[in-house]
Amino acid sequence: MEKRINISAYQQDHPTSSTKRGSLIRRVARWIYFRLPDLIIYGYVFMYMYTGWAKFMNMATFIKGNSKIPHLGQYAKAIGYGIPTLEVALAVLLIIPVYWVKRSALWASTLLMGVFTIYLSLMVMFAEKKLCHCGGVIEAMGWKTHIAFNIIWLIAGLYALKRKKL
Amino acid sequence: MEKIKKYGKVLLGVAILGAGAGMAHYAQAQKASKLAYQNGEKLEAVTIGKATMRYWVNDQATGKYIEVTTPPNPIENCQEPSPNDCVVQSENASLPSTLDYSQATPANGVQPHPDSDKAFYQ
Repeated sequence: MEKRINISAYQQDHPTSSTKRGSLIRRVARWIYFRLPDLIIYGYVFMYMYTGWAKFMNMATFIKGNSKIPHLGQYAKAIGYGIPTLEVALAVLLIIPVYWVKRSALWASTLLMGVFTIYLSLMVMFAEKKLCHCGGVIEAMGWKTHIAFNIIWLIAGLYALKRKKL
Repeated sequence: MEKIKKYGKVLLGVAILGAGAGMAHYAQAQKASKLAYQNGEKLEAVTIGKATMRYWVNDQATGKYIEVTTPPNPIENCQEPSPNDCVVQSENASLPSTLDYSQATPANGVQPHPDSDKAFYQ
């Protein structure tokens, strides 16, 4: 009896529509929380496919740009073909529903993001002429924004690996 | 049910892959059209009432200059890897400062403008 009284008192304080809205927000938040690792993986899929494809479409420019990178210029062609191939391959592997494939792809994706972040940081710290042929709108970002963007994705990748127990 | 969920996830992944590739195509097309528009605007500003423009692009493989019918892309054709890949010939003396092209000189192998008596290189 006491329980019933409490419920009715609560309903008087909070109109029905407000309760419904609150519960909807909670449900959406819970849905996002439980699916966050998958959302991060799909984010990686989209991003790597986008940047990889953009590099393939501007291959000549990408290779020319790579040739100007100090110490790495001599491997411009290998990097030029290797990076976009790796990005597209990782994007495809991330959607394959086989445990070890997805695990390896997510590890490799996060590692690659770490390598990109280190490259950008070194470029900002030491290079006079900063070079980034990162593909699509991503190369239009400022350097600090780009590094922050990469760090967020790096943390997201590590979080997805931890949450997914991959 | 599990199987449907699994295939659903794969289908979603394929859709995202397609969206990524599509977005890359779209961004590239946007960039190209923006560049062409800017280039066209610049050209129009400096060529009104002037003789026909002619353009040459350096062929990296042979080292020779090839005439092209449309304005070369300043970034892709002209600036990388060296800054002298493109030459433009016109009667408008202010051209080099307003366009991202290098000067055309006889050393580049560019012939005088056929439609102009006082054709010169710039």
